[in-house]
Amino acid sequence: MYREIFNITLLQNTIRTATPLILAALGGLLTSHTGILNIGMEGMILLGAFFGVAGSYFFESYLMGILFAVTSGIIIGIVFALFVIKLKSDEFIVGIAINMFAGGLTMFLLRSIFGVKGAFSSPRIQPLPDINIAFIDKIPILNVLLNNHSLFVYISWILVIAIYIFLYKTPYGLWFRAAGEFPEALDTVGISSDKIKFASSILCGILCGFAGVHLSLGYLTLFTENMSANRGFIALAAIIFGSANPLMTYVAALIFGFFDALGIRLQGVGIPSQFTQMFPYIVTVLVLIAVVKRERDKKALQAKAGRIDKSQSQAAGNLTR
Amino acid sequence: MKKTIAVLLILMLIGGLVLTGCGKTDDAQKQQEEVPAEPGDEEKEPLKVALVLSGGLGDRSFYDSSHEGFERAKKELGIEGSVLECKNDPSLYQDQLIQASENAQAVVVVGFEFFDVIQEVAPEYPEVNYIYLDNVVEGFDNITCITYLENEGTFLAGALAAMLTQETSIEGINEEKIIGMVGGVDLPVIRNFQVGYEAGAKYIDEEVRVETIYAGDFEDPAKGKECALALYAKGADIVFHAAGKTGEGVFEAAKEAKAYAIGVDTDQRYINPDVIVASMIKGVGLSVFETIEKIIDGTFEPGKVIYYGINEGGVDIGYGTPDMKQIVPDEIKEKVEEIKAKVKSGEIQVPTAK
Repeated sequence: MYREIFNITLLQNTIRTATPLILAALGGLLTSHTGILNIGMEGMILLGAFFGVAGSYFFESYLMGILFAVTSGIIIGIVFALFVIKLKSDEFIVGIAINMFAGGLTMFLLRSIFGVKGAFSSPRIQPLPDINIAFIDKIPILNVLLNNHSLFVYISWILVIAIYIFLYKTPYGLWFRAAGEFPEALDTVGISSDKIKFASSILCGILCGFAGVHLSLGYLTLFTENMSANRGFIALAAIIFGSANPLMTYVAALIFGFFDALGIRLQGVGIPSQFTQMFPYIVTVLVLIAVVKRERDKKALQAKAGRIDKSQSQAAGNLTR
Repeated sequence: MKKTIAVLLILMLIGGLVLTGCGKTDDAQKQQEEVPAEPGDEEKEPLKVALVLSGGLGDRSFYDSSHEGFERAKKELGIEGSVLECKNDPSLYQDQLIQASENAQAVVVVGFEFFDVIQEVAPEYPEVNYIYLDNVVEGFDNITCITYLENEGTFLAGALAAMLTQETSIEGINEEKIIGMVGGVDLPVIRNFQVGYEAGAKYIDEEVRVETIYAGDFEDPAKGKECALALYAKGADIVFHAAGKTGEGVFEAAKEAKAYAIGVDTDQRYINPDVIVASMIKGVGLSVFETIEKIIDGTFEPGKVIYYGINEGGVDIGYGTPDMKQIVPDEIKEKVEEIKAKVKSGEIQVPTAK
């Protein structure tokens, strides 16, 4: 029985399920570092998924699919930034608007361009290639686990590390973090914090486009209405779990993927689906409790430090007087 | 200065709103006056029918099938009407149903989800005939229920899968006697699919194991693919789905695992004839068409429950169009026909979960 549940396909499934989550979450964590909580990722993924399929269908090339998805991501990223940064609209409302807009637009275009409702698949749609790494081929377990995944699985691994280095080891990353934590400081040294926020929104659009095109061309080879199926929100949860740290966020995405995959397999041993479908969400609640507790401890510590600062400055003030 | 301009602008806007508002109500009143006048002028006005869907069109199965019947009635019976989709948004159920009831003489209500709403709305419109699909509500004079004996159809699908899984000469069929099913959400209707499928498989061979996974969603093909891949990894070589759009992922998984799938509700073979060997057809369109036909004939008896099983042509197995390469051998097809005849005559009693 344990063999049936805990086998290599469980881990494969985990990686596959986590990939669209982490791609979107990487985008979301960039905006979250610059101080914008982007709940429009759901819609951005959906747009990427649709335009990926459209590009791949019309040009019969997956590269065009990626290009289309990235372009849609850039455009929607600019729109998001325009409203949130330039026009100072509420980011939640803009995010919700993007989600609704994406749902409506893809539905409309699906009917007007392809003349179908609900789902679209065609042999003309070129899927993203699976990557075979020759030297892993000979290692027994790693080969099954790490080899022959879809293109974006590998891209997501590279991006996790690249964005980690970018955020914590380069000056630009420092600007990103400063734009969220203390924008006035950035403006003072002559770097526009708004421009940084703009850049983060566009990057988020692109990464969500990646997530979308991975979903519709890498994971599957079709588009269906609302196929993002709340992955944008789960990505948001992963960001909050991981405190917007790329490595921790990837771990969070893997945890979600793992429990999703485990849920599917536990049904096979007679556990009712109502319970297995709860797993990812139970884990969410448990981890959130831990996160909230950690944050609270941190705040308490800061408050304590703050009091010390205050009393010290008061002491200093007394001295000068 | 600025203030006065602002005030003026606001006044203009309000004025505009009030005026346009008046204009609209006038139009609406006129329309209302005109509409009831018409039936007196002409006796043979086309029947107005509305189709209300709990989900949306484009699932290539259940809702689309009801829409087919509706379109056929439009063409052949000359009815008039429109489709109202609720897109799985429960907050729309009541509004759309009232909207439909206001404008139509007969309302086809598609989706078990309307169970509560229909009982509230139907008494308000005693003149309207409600045709409620996929569930049973009793005790209302103007609600006619159509319920399908899915279990009879999936019995055939299960029997077919159980026979096919033993044809190891076919490429992609393994030694193990395991078949699978992916369900959308764990609901009585879907359970009815499952019970029939399992019974059909057991009828052929007691040793055949049926593995079922519920995806928990009708609109997530990626999840559907994962569920099916998990089943194929367990040794299943044929997976049947009753999961709407989630089922599209099952076909993708079949392609990837180089195994087979069985479609549902409509003949889905056209989606990918290389892996979809057959489909369990639910005659939703037929039932919609026949009921509308009865209303026009005058043979319609409102307030009844109509069952659509194998006997009524309500459920069946489809193998696609003749130009597709057939994967199911003729002997198996013949055997399925034999079983169908036995279910028809009552020799086989199919268990039910409804």
